[in-house]
Amino acid sequence: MTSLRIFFIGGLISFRALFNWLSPWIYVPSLLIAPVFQVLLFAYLGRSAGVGSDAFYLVGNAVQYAAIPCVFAMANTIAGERQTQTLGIVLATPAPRLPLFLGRRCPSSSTGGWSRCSPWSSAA
Amino acid sequence: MTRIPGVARMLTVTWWLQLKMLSASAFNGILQFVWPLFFATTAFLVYRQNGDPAALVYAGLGSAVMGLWSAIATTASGALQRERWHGTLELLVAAPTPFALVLVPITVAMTTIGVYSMGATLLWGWLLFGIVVPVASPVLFVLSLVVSVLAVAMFGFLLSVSVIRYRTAWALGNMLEYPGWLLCGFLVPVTLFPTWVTWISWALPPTWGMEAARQSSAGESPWLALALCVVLGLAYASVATLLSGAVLRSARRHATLALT
Amino acid sequence: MPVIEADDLGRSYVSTTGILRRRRKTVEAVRGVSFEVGEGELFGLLGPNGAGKTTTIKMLMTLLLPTSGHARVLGHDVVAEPREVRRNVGYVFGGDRGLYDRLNARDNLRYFSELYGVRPDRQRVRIDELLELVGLRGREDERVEGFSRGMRQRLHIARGLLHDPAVLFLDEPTIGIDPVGARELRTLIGDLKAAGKTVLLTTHYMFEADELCDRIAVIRSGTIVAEGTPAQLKDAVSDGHVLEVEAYGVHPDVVASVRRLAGVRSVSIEEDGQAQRLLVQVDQGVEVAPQVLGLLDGTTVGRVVTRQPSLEDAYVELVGTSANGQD
Repeated sequence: MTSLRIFFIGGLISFRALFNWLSPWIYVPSLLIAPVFQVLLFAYLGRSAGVGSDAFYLVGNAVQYAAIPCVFAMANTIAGERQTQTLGIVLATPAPRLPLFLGRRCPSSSTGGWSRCSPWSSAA
Repeated sequence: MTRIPGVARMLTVTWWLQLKMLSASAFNGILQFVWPLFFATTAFLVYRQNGDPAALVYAGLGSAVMGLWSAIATTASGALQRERWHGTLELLVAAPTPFALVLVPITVAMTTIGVYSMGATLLWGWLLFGIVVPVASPVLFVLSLVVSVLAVAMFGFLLSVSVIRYRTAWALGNMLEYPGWLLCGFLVPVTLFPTWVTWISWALPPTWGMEAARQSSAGESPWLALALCVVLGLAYASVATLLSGAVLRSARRHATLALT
Repeated sequence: MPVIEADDLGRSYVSTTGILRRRRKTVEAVRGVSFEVGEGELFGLLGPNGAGKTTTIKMLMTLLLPTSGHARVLGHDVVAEPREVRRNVGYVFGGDRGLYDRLNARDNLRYFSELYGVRPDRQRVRIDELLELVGLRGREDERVEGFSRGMRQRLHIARGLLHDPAVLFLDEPTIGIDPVGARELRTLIGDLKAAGKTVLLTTHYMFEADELCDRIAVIRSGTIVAEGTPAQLKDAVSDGHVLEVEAYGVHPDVVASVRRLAGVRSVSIEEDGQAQRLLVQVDQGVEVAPQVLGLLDGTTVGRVVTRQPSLEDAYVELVGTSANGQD
């Protein structure tokens, strides 16, 4: 039960603590608009070179964009802890490590899933 | 201060010193010119599938100029924020020189950093993909690049002034990187786009700079493209100058010059 | 004609708080400030933090638009003719910022000399002169990021003097600097005045104002509460005396009670390690020592001294302090 609480509630709180700079002004350009243009860039590249189909590039870019937050999320949570100098404090708690660190990457990974939706909707 | 020679000297010296500052931190710069390199490589790989060597040359030259755009898109919006953080923004405003003339050398220096990226991309294309960009008229080619640098810098000038009130301006700037790569015809011919999109492309100075570079490399006459690039650059500079006056007055009224 | 004229200057800030229900809050940083500075004078604007000194100086420097009133520097209006003002004024402020860390000292000065229109043929000579003046000769090729705060401050002053301005605005130039460095800076400031420059200095160190300034204006909460030469300010409180009581653990209620005694002009407390010093400014001819000691009954009391007021006492009284000595 404790592990579940640490995973969900602890994860959400630490996400808010470490990523509080993520305002809509950053969110919208970086995670919603940029992927759309990246897809367009590759799709037109493909059309210009006559290589691959639009769908090919769409799927590829969507997966790539979903992957980016997942890759950076874990690294940034630890880096963020070091920057706020709370890493030692967190490690000194008796909380089980797996739910502790996996929980905090969950919200950031789900932003990846959300950003993946934007290229799909642009394709539509 | 004697008029034109004095102003020219002031612009050159301040440009040089700003460039010195930007170059001093090599590590920061690495990401700036490695990033377009990755995209260039992807483009080369795609075009190579095509089997047409001319297409590779097209991509090679285009991706080189991409670095200029990236340099300005990612850094110009943060230019004034960086000055504010140094505590020098107030000093720049307090100087008797018109603010536009203070800011232009800064954006030109930022774009000049993009020239490093340009060289790196051409080298990369040559070493790994065997792309050799033919330069039929070297003088015109260099002129096209210089004019492109200046025109992109004017766009950067406008960008830096437009976003001065927003603390997360760097994110807005980053958002422009891909659209610029797409719309300016670096990797993809502008003619592929729907008509209404090509109008947007034609309103961007780098599109004409890129066109001039391609034409001089192929031995055609780049003068029309160069002229349009210069005209657009001056237009952006004029708008930016007017905007900078308004923005500064607002900053003085609302006391936002010193805030970090 | 006075070199600097401030006429009923005012500056207010409107801030909005809250996201859904936005509330507007107006803060008046400066209210009705008026003073004049003559040629060659070293004028001090003395006041605690948050009094409005920096806001006033920024308005005179054309960096802030006043919300009311007028100001003129060398006859030019700060709102209508900002460029003329900027051409003839040097601006120096304290602290670590305001210089390009990645450039060396010489390049920093070169940059600003271009912006201030120093003639190219004069630049090298001028930069060398100024580096000599501020004592940074030999360090000019080092990057500013390695400079101590004292060195940065001196480089600031050199930067402010590049275009040989007639007027110099110094905003808390010795803040955060060690005593020896600060003394050297003050000597430098005194030399500037001797060279005929008009200087407006803001500070919250009253001994600095006392030492350097020809005239002082004491500013508190955005208004000028007193103006005059250091001697005149001391005279203003010289009738009466100061009762100084050393005590251990004075309760804030006691301070409030002392303040209510008849004849007491102001009360302040200074922390001195474990002990506190209760400073009571008393009107002429009134004796309050017995009552004060009575109120301090139960608290351990050390030395009790009655003395003449100093400029510090004048300042403390003018600026007005709360029970814990802070404004």
